[in-house]
Amino acid sequence: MLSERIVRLTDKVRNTVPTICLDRARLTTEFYKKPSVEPFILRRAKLFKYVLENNEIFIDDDSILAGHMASRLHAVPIFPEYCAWLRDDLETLDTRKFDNFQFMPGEKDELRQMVADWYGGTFGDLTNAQLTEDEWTLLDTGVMTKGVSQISTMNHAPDYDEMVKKGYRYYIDQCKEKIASLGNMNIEKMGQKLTWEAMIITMEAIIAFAHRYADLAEKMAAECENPERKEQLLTIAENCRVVPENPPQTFQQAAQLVWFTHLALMMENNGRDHSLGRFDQYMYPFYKNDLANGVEEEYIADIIHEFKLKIEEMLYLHNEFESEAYPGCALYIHLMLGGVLADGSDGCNELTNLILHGMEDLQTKEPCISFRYHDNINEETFRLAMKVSLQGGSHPAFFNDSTCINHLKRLGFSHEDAVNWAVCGCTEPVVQGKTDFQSQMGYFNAIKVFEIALHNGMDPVSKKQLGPKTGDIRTFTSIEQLKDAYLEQQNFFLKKYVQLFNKMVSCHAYSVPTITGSCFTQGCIEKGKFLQEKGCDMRYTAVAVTGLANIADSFAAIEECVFKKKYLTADELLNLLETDFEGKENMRQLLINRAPKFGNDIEAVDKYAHFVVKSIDDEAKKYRDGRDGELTTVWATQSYNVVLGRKIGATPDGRHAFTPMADNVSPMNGMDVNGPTAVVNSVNAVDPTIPQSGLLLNQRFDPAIVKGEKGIDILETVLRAHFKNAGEHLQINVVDDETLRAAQKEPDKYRNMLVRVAGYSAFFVDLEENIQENIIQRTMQTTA
Amino acid sequence: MLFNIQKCSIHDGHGLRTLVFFKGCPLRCKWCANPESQEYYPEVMESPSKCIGCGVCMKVCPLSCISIHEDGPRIDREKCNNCFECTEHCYAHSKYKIGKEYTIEELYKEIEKDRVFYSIKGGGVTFSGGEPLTQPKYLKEIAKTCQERGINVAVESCGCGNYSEFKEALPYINSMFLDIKHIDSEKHKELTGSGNELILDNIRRIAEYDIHITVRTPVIPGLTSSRENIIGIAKFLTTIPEIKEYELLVYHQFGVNKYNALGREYTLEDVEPPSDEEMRELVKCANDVFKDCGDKVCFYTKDNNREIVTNDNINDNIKEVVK
Repeated sequence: MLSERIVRLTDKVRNTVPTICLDRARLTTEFYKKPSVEPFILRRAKLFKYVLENNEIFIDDDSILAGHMASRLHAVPIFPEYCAWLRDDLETLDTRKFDNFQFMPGEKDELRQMVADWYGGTFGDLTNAQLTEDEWTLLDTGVMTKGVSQISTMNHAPDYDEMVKKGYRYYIDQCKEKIASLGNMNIEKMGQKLTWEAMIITMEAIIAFAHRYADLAEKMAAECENPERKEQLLTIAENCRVVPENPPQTFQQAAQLVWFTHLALMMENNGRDHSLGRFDQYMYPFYKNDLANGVEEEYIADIIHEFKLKIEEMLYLHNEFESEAYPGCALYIHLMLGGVLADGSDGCNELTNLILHGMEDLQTKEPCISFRYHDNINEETFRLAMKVSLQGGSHPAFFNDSTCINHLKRLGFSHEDAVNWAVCGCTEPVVQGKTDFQSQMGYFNAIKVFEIALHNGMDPVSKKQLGPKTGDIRTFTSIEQLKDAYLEQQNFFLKKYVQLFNKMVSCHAYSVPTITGSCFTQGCIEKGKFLQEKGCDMRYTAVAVTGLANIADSFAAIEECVFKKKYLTADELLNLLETDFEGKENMRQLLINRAPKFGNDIEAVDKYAHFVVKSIDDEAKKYRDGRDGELTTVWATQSYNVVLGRKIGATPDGRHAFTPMADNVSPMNGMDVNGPTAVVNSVNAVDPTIPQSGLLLNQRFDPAIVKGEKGIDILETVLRAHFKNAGEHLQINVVDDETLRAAQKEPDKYRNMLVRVAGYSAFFVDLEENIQENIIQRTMQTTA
Repeated sequence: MLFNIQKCSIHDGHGLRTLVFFKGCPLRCKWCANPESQEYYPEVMESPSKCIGCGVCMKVCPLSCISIHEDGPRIDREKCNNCFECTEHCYAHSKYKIGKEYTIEELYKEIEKDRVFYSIKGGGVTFSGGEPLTQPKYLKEIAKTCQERGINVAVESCGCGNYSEFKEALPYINSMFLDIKHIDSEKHKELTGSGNELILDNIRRIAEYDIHITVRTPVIPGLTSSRENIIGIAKFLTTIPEIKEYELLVYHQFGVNKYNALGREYTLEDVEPPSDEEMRELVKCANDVFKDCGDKVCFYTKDNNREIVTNDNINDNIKEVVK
């Protein structure tokens, strides 16, 4: 049961129209008008301090945790020093199709002026200036995208384990001691000194920011006539004086500390994808201690709800292109539950259960809550987690400890460190407090590369010769020749992709290092170096790759229809693709129905998925990233399968030109017709131990199939089998009425959706309309 | 010959199961939800909604028996001799062949693919149909292959087969679902085309083997749904101590489109599925018969759960309905 306070808070967060808050943009623009020859790093630290000292703050009447990123609820700050794109997309921020934000009266004009002031001086301008004409062409044609070019390093997983025991003062003292021990100066030592000073300024600024909330809470308490609220306000005030400076004493203080820190990561650098780590582990001592001191468990449950809502309330401003690629203002803030401990025992505890039960009452869009599975998992907690995920809120997602821990050990972490992993981004495992990970290296659009290989190095959409001439497919006599051609194109473009990314990521060190993130990642304070200067020893980056199912299906279709059964020649195939199958729908159907498709547990096609995944990982391992980190691969698309799909012509799997490709590692929409076990088997036919940053698998279930205890049995069977085969990740979608309605309108897109009919299951779209109606009605009854 | 292999099935046995459907059945139940299971030879099925209108089927049909109807090109089943020229050329899979021979190795390979799932919550393979007992040698071979390699074997059957032939398969079967559609043999013949004597005899004989048996009756309103029928079947079961479970299956109309796909007519269009109240009442009647047996139970399945209704827990609401 939710308290009235949480119900009100939820309503406010969800019903407040998202607006743009100019506070930070204004302060930043103002700050940079002051002349100075200070080292840029001190200037960055002082800018953050200036913002935290002067932004407008408020405490919502229903909050007991303080701190918001903007000056009012559900508003998004602007980072004018980053976003070169603002000058192109500003006009439509309030009208665009996805994630639009309203301006306060007069502020659109003000922002126009600020954007003009920043013209040519943003981080985006710096990174854009690094690009060659050739690279712009690769971006325009959709061969790749460029990541992290208008933001700083993402994917911090701060050392919350240690921080909740120590408080910021410990880290500040460490920096001071380091400075004191420097002795006689030289250039390098001065670099270290400036770094520690910047860290101190930053941490003190966050402490002072908390004190501003304490002052405000005291002032509000003085004016408050409701004794209960007055008490709450005084508690807020007390908490904000204790943390983040000192070690927290209560669950609420610990939550407040974590919240301030996460907020700072977001506010300093337009942050995103920062992980909360193993929340049920580092918060557990506070939970136990509170209960021992007589605090009600409901009170702690309420704090967790508010904490979740705090994360949900945060917004992120994307440019127009990305607003469609990551619709819903995704922040990718992950929170981990469960998992193994260093001694091999299970980490599930009463707090894990409390958080899961809380999700039965309130599911929030973020944080993305994930559940870590391992062989000794507490069966009851595991089943609770599954039950929650089957309620339809799609959280928690499930991860496999053994696969992720092995990934991290192969990257060089000790076993003890590796067990303390959390997710960053989508599926990428990192060790909290010990990792400098960079996701969003940009997308490597493998299906585009495949398309280019089919056309002897030419992009058939732009008609540009982008790659080397790897042979005319019309002269090929076997699929092996096409595989060779693909590999050569892949290697050619991957090199360009890495070069492009390395320019972007190297710029971070000279313009926008992440100071807060550096304070709380081991190695940085010790060395007196920021993350961006290799302050952390464990560094790696993820190459995000798209189009898996489409490439596998295309290879299989060519092998079967051109080389084996000779239904058509390569020349005819190229003509079909060129004309987008116009007037030749029967041939498109042939390519779809007469060749095996990924997701049905058929070796003849799954082997190509494995080939593609392994090839790019092997090749990526030959490079280092700009911070001398390792390259890993991840197969996760977000909605890039849609936006990048628009740049790809028709493909041999029967996909129409410019339409979406398959998402993540899912089979192409409607092509998996053998149910979830076949999908899981196909995905695991790709060796899941290869891509160290993960394979993202979405599974859709009909609510009727997964009803009751037997329903949990089904999910448990699928999950355990998936993980037994080293699968890394699985997330559940339970289909709702809306989807069933959509399936009626566009049956082709929903061919794989199983529905429980009576004593058996059937594919929804194969059913007559009246039966579909019947099922929709039944579903509505049972979910009411 | 098989007509389908369905993965990830959750009914008809414990855990996640692979369902293997045999093609061919001696009965012709009016309500059959899988009419493509009835004949022992391959047939053409038609999904008009998948037709792209290319017309190739009409061009290639050597007997010219395909012509345009309201819902697209349809086969004149009177003339068609199942030559499969149309399905061979229909790339859109709108006309397709149903019925395929698998060698034991081929079939086992398909079943084996989901082995990892069977090992978790007690799944396995279920042979269904059609009537598996009427392909006894094949059933024996594949059941043996599976059981010897540790895969649990279940069979769904109407009990209609030649015992002296299918008994060879019985040692390799872990559990069976056996149907009794009607206890009155005349009625049974009217509804399914055959009397029930052979079926009842077979059930008695099968019960002597170490096989877990669930007897089932599909509840078809107006046809099999009388209290007399259910009580009669329950009484029959009291004479076989080895049988502990009696399940009533809720009639559904979800096979209707398959009749259209085979160019046949469905004669039960007007029959509505039974209500929950009716199901509960019938389950209660059977459990009344079982009340002195101690270890027999009747149930039906709703929302993945077994609903067991007895006199003790029947609610007032239903008592009203019964009056």
